[in-house]
Amino acid sequence: MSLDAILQTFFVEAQEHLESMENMLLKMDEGECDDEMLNDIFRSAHTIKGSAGIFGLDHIVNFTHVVENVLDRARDKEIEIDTDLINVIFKCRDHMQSLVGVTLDEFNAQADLQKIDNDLLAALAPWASTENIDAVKKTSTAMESQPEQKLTDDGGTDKLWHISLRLSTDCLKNGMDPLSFIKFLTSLGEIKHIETIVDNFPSLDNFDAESLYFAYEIALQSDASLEEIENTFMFVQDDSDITILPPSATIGDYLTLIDKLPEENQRLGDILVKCGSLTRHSLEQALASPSTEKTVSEQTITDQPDESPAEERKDPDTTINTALTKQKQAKTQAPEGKQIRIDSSRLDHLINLIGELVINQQRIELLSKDSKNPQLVEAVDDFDNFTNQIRDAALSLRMVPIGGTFQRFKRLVRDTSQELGKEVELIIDGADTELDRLMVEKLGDPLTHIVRNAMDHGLESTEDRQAAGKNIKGQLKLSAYHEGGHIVIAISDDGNGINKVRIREKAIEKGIINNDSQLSDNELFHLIFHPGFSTAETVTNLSGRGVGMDVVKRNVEALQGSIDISSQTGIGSEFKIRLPLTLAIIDGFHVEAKGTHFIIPQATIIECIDLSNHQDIKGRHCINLRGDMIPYLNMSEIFNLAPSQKMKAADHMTRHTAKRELVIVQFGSDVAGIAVDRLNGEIQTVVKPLGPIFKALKGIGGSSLLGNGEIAFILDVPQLIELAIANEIANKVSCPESIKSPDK
Amino acid sequence: MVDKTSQFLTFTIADEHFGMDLHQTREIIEYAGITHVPLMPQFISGVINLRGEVVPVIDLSVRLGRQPITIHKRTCVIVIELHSSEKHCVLGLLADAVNEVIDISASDIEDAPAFGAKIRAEFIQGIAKKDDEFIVLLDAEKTLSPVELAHLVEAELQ
Repeated sequence: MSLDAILQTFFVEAQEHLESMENMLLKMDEGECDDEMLNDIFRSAHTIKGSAGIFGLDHIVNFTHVVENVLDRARDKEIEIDTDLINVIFKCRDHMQSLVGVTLDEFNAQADLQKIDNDLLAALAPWASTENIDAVKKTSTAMESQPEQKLTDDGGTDKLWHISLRLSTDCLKNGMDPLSFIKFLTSLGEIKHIETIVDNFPSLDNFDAESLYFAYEIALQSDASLEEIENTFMFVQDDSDITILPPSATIGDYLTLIDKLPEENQRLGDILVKCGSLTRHSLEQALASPSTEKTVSEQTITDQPDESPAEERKDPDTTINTALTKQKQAKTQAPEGKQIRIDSSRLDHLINLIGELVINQQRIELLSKDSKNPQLVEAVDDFDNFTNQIRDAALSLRMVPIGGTFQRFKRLVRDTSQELGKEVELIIDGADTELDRLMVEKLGDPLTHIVRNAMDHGLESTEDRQAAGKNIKGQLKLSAYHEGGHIVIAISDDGNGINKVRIREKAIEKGIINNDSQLSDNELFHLIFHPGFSTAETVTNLSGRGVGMDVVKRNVEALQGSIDISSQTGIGSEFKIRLPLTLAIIDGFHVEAKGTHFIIPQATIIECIDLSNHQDIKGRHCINLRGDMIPYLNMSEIFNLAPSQKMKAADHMTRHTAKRELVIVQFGSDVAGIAVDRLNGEIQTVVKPLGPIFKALKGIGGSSLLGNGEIAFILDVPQLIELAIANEIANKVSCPESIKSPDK
Repeated sequence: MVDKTSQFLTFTIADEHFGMDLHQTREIIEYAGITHVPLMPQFISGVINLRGEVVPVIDLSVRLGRQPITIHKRTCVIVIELHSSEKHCVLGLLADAVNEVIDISASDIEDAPAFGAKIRAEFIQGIAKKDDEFIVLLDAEKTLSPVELAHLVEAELQ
């Protein structure tokens, strides 16, 4: 592991701790405060401080230290937790986040950061204590938590930890300086004694200047907890042998340590005595104790031949057993128990490979069917089954619950409501609904815009709500759920609803629509996504500038999703973002028009009908399907498809029997038909983006390879419908409304 | 004096000779049909399946302001790779024939004439002379800039 990689771990972990701090603070802000939460916040701050110390990020250490101090006092009930304190800690948390993002040099160069630093420290001052009171308090907690019988009973060794450091030889190469650990230990307490063991030092010929040959035995007098001391070494604990004996350690623990270490027992004993961790008397007693009798031959492999007189030891089996149990305990305590971190690009690579596998599998399936060999077909069927399972399993790796994203809005809602002076309650529903990781990342911005808008424009002020007889506390609800092959994320509020009249006025004023335009509610609401559109009377720094909602729409569309708005005056509004389950592989329906292959996402399809059995209504592209008027579009017309040479010949032959098929699709509340020449059946297909050049091409969301190697285009149904509407308007066809919302 | 030489892949479109920096070319494949992309301007011939990758194919002839290329038995696709844009971009170019890879020393490359080449001057990296034939060395980054191509597509679709 290089230093960069370790630093990266630090950043990731610091980020996680900051997030958990935020969550806890939010809970406390809501009034549910218990000691465990305080402890969590304290631990997060402490771990960040500790790790930052190892990297010499003093700006983080110095600031966090004060925060930690205040938290510690709160933990010990010396100071009361109130909204003011929570607010300051919130700000401190944010500042810590900015601090984590900069290096020490950058921090020293940025006056504004330093100013925030000072301001916050000043803000914390009323709660901060002098170090003395703090230390006393800490001592008492440390005493309570260690009721175990102490090895030594003379006062001088009170809270004397013993740390045995056997760092890996590559420690320096990995960018870790043992000195920095020792330095950091001094921030936890006082180092009473350090014994440097140089037994491993090689002859000059074999000496490698970049290797570490030293081992250390350290006596540390500290009030810190075992966890705090352990954290000091968290970046090297994997490949080093570190033993930390608490002040409460029994003589047996020391014997275990002596056994474990490669050095000669008597010497180690002497070192421990020198460190003050053991008294000469208890050492001799222990080493000579008959219960620890053993022979040289039974020593563990790492031990060097031991010729000292005091060679009797504890039974090695017991020693090893205790050590093993300890290790096990330590492992179960480790936070990353069942999770591993993977670089997302490696995951993407895997998904891509599986995409290729799916394509190849389809090709084999095609070939096997051609071969008419029943055994082969059967084998390929099995293969097909497994490929699908692998695909699903791989895709599920990319799925993450939306909860994490929702959680972040608690903070936003809290801050925004304070800023606006509105009381808002955030309700989260369906937090465990899983979404493609890529989508989760790209949803943050659009959701933020919608939530801000809902709070700023949607929810009324406290007075207005009171006057309207509503609960003073406004309600904002974020929910996520599955609906027919899509994931829906809904943001709803119980505010005043969208003012249709104002939107209309504004749209006319901005020249977006004409005075006499007839628009459905849905179309009217969609006007707010028009660039430069804003109906807010006043421009606040939250929203109202008319930038944002158009970005929201674009971002959602980039994810092959759509937004629906519903709103009722006086009752509230709801934004529904509809997204596909995954972006990488889709279930589609393969159709052909004039020899060009298209794939219609399966989730949008309601049914397929034979168009030749239906008559157009009054010359329009509309049919009557069981009493409903369904508008349809012609693929060959909308994409201006000319039949290929091959098709022309084929067409000539089949002219008389040419059938026209209609695929009925639904997207949101819109139902429409897509007329094609041929239906080729269901297909599972890997989405291949068409690349930046084709970005402006509407109606086609991507491409895909068919089993025979030919390229098919994946239709983006909502865009296609939009395109059809735009074309009709451009052609001044009589009924521009007919293509949309036929069910209204 | 040490003369810096670069390698160029030379090809022919409608009897005109062109060259392109060899480092930008990835491979040459036989033209085996193409899938037309609906509503595209003429300079985008379509897309091909290059071993599982969907690659856009450009009719360089149209891009350079000439008549569309006529497809015949020996038409080939030169696959090029552009690195300068934020993402690496793979494109195919239609050519009547690919000739050879030649070394051209920097001193043999002349600046593009201000006019007369009938090609936008910024597309031309230089003109080289070989066996009494002039070879127009194209600047692939400029001629085939994905950003500019995307703008052209957008304009066509408006």
